[in-house]
Amino acid sequence: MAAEGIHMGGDEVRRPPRWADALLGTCLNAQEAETSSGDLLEAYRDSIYPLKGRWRADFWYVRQVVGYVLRAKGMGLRNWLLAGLALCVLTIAFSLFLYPALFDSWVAFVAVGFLFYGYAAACHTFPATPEDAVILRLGARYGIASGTLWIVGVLGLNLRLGVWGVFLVLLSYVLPLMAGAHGGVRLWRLRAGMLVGFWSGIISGLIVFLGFMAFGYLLAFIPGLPGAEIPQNHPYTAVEYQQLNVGDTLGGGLVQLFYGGAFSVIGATLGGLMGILLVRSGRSPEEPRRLVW
Amino acid sequence: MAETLGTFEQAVLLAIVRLRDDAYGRGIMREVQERLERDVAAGAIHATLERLEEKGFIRSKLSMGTPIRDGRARRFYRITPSGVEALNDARAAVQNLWQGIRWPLKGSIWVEMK
Repeated sequence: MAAEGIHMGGDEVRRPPRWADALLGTCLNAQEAETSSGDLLEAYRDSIYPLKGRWRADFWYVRQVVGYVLRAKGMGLRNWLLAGLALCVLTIAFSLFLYPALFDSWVAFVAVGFLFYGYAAACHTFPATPEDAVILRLGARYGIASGTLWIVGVLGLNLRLGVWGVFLVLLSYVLPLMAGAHGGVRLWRLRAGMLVGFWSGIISGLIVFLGFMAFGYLLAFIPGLPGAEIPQNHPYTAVEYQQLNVGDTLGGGLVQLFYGGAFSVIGATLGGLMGILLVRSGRSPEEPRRLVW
Repeated sequence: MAETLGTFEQAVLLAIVRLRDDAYGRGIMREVQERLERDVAAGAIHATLERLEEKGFIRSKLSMGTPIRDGRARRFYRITPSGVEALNDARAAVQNLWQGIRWPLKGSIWVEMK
């Protein structure tokens, strides 16, 4: 049913970004995508564009589309995690295909790790109780915050931002403690704090891994960027330079994905224990004092 | 008693009631924004309409688009008898909660607890 764009005053055609419409089409069925994009287009043309101007109207449109994507059926935590894990596996496979010399015994350990994360994402992300829903929600929030802080901090260190980079990275290490304390105190169970740490660890690990790999490929293919590794042997080939940088970030990303996840669980359990003990110490004798797993 | 409605669901259903034959996505969004006096995401309206339709509180049908939306189809919504019942129940529940209390509440009812 879609027709050509209309002219709104003068020769200007008011049209939002086409890629945003395409994105909307990926998360809704064809009929819903047509009616929803029509509603957005109508609002964009009749009130948003005249009020806000082109750039802010485009930003509004993109924000609305992102809102649709996040609320779309089937785009729950489970599918985001599975999609993230699949993207990680594809990235590793692609890197090994490009640089077979990176292949080693670590691949078997990593495969086991991915199977475990995949099992957790596929089978334990449907909340059976309101407490489960709280745990998953807190885990997702702290995971996104922690992963983003880590990425921004490490990039900051590479770009010589100095103390700010260090601060952000340190903060990302403290977040699992806070996540565990938040979950533990909110549900008054140590186990809740540990589980918040587990989900937060997977999510932040995925964000960091994918961010690292994107950065690694940038370093490999745009020589001279700050933070790039230089091969020791001189002279070295372009492939050796690329392999060193991709391999370096691949290693860093995997460490963050798996050791980071374990650190997050341990940190959150400690955080949950400390949080519960602290809150309990301030309570009167009539209130519950028993520590629950 | 019909299924309980949330505040946002009530806002969307009441917008459909008010708009009558003009109740489609864009119109409902504008009406809800005006009544709630805040910005509302189009995705939130869409998800709520979908949920209300699944619960059987509204029905929808497709209709032709207009030039301003490049001819893209519009989906019009209409409230069903069970939707009317759910709205009436929601209103009655709020009235019961407020029964015997003079509105608006005054600050003088606040008594410090010791």
